[in-house]
Amino acid sequence: MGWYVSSQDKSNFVACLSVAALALPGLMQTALAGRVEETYNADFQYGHYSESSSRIDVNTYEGALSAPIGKSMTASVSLVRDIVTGASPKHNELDSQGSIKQIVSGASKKALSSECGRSICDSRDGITPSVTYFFDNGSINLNGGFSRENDYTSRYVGTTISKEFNKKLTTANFGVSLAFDEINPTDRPALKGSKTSQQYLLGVSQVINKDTLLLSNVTFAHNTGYMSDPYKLVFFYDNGMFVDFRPDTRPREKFQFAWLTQYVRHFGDLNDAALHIDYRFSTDSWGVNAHTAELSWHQPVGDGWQIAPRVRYYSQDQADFYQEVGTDLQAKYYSSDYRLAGFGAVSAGLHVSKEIAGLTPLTHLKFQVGGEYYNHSASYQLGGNNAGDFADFSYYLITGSFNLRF
Amino acid sequence: MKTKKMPLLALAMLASTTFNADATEVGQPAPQFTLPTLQQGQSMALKDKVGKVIYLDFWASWCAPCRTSFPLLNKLHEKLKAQGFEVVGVNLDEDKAKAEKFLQEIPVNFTVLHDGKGEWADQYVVESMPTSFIIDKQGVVQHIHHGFTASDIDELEQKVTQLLAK
Amino acid sequence: MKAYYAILLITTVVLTGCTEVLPRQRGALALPQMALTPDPLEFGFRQHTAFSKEAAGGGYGGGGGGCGCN
Repeated sequence: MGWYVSSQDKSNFVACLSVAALALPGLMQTALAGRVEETYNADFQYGHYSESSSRIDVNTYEGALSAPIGKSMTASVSLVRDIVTGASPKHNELDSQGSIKQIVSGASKKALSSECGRSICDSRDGITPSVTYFFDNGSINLNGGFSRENDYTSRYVGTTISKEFNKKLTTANFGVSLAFDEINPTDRPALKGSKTSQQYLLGVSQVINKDTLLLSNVTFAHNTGYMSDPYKLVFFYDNGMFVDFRPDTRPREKFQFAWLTQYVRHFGDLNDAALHIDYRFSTDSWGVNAHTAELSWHQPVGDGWQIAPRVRYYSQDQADFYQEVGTDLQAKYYSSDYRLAGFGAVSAGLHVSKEIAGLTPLTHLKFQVGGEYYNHSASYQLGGNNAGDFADFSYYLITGSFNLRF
Repeated sequence: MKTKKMPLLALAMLASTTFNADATEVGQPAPQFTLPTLQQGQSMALKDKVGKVIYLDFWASWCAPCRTSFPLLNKLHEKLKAQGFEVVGVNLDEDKAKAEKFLQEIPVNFTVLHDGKGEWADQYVVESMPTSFIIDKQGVVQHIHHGFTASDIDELEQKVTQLLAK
Repeated sequence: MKAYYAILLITTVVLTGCTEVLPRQRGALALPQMALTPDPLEFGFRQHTAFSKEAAGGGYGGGGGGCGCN
């Protein structure tokens, strides 16, 4: 695995493992259609992310393969490469009028001497293998992941156990995952650190009637270690006068709890359309409570075509130690990271797919394209927020993929 | 005292939501039905097939393993029909058009009947999709097969051949 | 303990309130648009992006860890 070096001021945008979605627990196919035929599956996806004000641009390439092993096992592997360029917010400042300004890393002169001419030039390579063993009434999945970029290495292992009962109308899921991350910030060896995360999932999915499905999950996560952002600073002011700046400093421990409910409903009279409603409540020991609601409508329009518009709303309140600019030099923890501020976000997207079945009885081909526009604004926060618009931004996403089953 | 019984009560309520129909079992005579063919031309009665070994397959267009099974069952049907073997498909789609589309994609030469209300599927008790019943020359169920994967066909052919030899 | 019994009662009522759905009646539920996650790859990318821009996380499961972006 090779990757490009190097960045001057880099945010950890890419450090997440995205492919985990392939191992999502849910209602197993066996509940619907007996044992599942052993098929080979190949997927490829291209994705593009672009942030307003030319901040971050990401191109992502992802390939996944899954194959049967014997009668009751499936193995899969997924590879991902993200290429990231751009700049990210570094700290907030007070200008001479006393109003807050967000300072973006790209302003630094060093940026111009970097490889891609931007302040961040990085790429991430990740691999995620997974094995699932199917029983008559359940399955066990083991998965792992390794992801590496210039300044960040992540490894994780996880397992999900699914058990069907009640005539396969109810599926219970239990999942555990452990992650070990190492951060080695570019040009800041003093801020080197590591982080351990564990997450537990308990969930139930239930067939309500022949048209309705309900899922409810709770997850608990416990993270310990270095969770500050080594590329962010907090500028401290006393009565509008600059006094000091310090690196972003967050607690070394975080508990997070989330509760997700997914409702899926079929409309036979509307050409087999499907309505999806997701709601998630999340709360953590840093004091951030968040609500996420998403609604999508999947409309088949004939000949294997499907159109799915969706809207999403997100709102969070600020972390206990968040400060727009630093005011208390005695505080133990402080961060001006916009992601820990109170804000809301509205997004809307469209997804179009075309399925081609019956090339041969078992071959199946599917093309999908999607787009989404996301708008982050302090004023969208539930219950309002008077922080001003200095951190507001937007981004759009485009994806294109194909899936081949044979 | 009262509260201690609650988990038991809950369990009993859950247990009562199970199937209560009597499943057709191996060794029992196959329930006799008459059903229209999918193309609505005529109807077929199981009793007309006495003396033949029948592979009675309950299926639906949305069932993924059925896509695997149909070409293989068609082959088996062609191979052994001269010896007194027949595959009979019973489609369970409420919407017949979906079944017809499936058969356009995967054409077969054996008889396909339509049981849109699932009356006979419930009579036989179809516990997964597909479920098939191998019925001997005397009209007795000799084997029940749940689901379908490609490698199952060899075992099924063996069962059928044994019954044909009897 | 009261909460435990309340949850038990609600779960039981919800589960028994569900209609019996026979295997042959699960055609609608087997449609690809009825999957909990109809496009897993796109979902993965969207989750990844949201997770790196928002403080909330979890709920959906899968490998939850490995993110320094929050």
